[in-house]
Amino acid sequence: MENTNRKHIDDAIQNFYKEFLETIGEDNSNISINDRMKHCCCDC
Amino acid sequence: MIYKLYDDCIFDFQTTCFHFNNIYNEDKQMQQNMKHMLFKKRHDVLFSQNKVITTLNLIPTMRCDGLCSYCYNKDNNNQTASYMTVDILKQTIANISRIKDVCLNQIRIYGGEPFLNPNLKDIILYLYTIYPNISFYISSGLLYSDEIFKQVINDCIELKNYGVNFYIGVSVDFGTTANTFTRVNKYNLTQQDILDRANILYEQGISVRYATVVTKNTDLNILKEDIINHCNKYYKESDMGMDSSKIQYAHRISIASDNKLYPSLDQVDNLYRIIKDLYIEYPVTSNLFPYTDVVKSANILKITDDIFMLAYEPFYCGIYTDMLTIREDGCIVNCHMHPFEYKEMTEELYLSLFKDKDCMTCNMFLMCRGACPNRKLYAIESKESYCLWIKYSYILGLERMKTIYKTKENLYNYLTKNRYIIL
Repeated sequence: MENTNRKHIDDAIQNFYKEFLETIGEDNSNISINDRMKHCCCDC
Repeated sequence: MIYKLYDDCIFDFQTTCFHFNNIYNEDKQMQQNMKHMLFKKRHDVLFSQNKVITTLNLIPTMRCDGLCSYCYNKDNNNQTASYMTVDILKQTIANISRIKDVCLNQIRIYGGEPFLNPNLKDIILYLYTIYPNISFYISSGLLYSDEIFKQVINDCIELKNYGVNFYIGVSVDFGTTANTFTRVNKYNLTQQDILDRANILYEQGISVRYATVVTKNTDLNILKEDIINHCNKYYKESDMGMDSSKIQYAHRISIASDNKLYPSLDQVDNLYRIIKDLYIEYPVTSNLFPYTDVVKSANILKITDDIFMLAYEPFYCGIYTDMLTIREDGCIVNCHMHPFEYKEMTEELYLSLFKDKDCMTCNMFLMCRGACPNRKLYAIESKESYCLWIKYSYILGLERMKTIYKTKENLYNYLTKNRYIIL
């Protein structure tokens, strides 16, 4: 696996995350895969 | 904060990234930047007018014949005695659709005791005709007469034969004895009676989750024994797979959201160790369900050849965004755990629920995203133990992946195959 310099990696991580959040519309509809854990969030 | 999975493979909770290399360096500024991106996105979504409802919670009735000492609705049960009908539901969904788009991907049914509503099967079949691929979760205590239980069996078999994808969560109160069993009910049903009923459903091919809510009174040694004994009796390995929709049998351990009954931090530590131990052989999960979804349902972003990110949507729960709860009479409320009020998002509410100062400095915020925001309103005393348990739950999710994939190469291949391509 290739090594990339640290600055490049940090920028890539942030840019990918930023881009990911931008792809999520206000309605989440443009996320193409299962985007919400089907967890039960409570104690039921 | 990093978690070592294998040699040359770590997971960094602060950026939610797997690093398949040995060159990881912590960068606090980057982590803060990402957290701020998430906060901004959450604020934008919460105050957007264009929300789509994707999760619907139904409360078919608030009637319940249980008097369980831990129940998040113990003060609300039996305050009303009416039953939801298909017509009430249709009308309510039509009303919601006038102001919001409704495009459901999960329906969860709570109470009260949902099966006390004689219309429940028809309600589910009605929804199934509209959403044939949807998954239904039914939370049931199985606390009712033998006659109703017979009807429940028949209804479940009928739903299954129609092809409805549903599973039932049954609270079995493991970790208690006959003297400390908390599920008091008017039929004097014992823990064994409830287990027998749950097992009858399971043997009919109905998917059952055996749920236990850990309180400060739970004996964790008994809990462990109970789970092992039950698994040894019933668990078939063929029931468990990576595809969560095929899971038929699982134990689900959560902790009490209650200002008095919440477990201590020591108990939560012990619970983590017990579940970590049980994971190796048995299907046990926690508030996060199913455990594999910690990785499986995240959006996997390939950053470089040896770095993958688990990118989660901005909210742990759909409250105030894409989730609504419909009461038996058609009233709309925010959350099934507090089914007596409806609030619109305000800046004040946002600050109290979504901008928690502890989250601002927490290493795991990008993963848990603050978890359940409403607990801050209703169970603030339990915050520390709940928070710790959610953190452990995510760690357990990674542990589970490690158990399943066994080697770094297998995990790498899974991530590569399932990565999400940003368009």
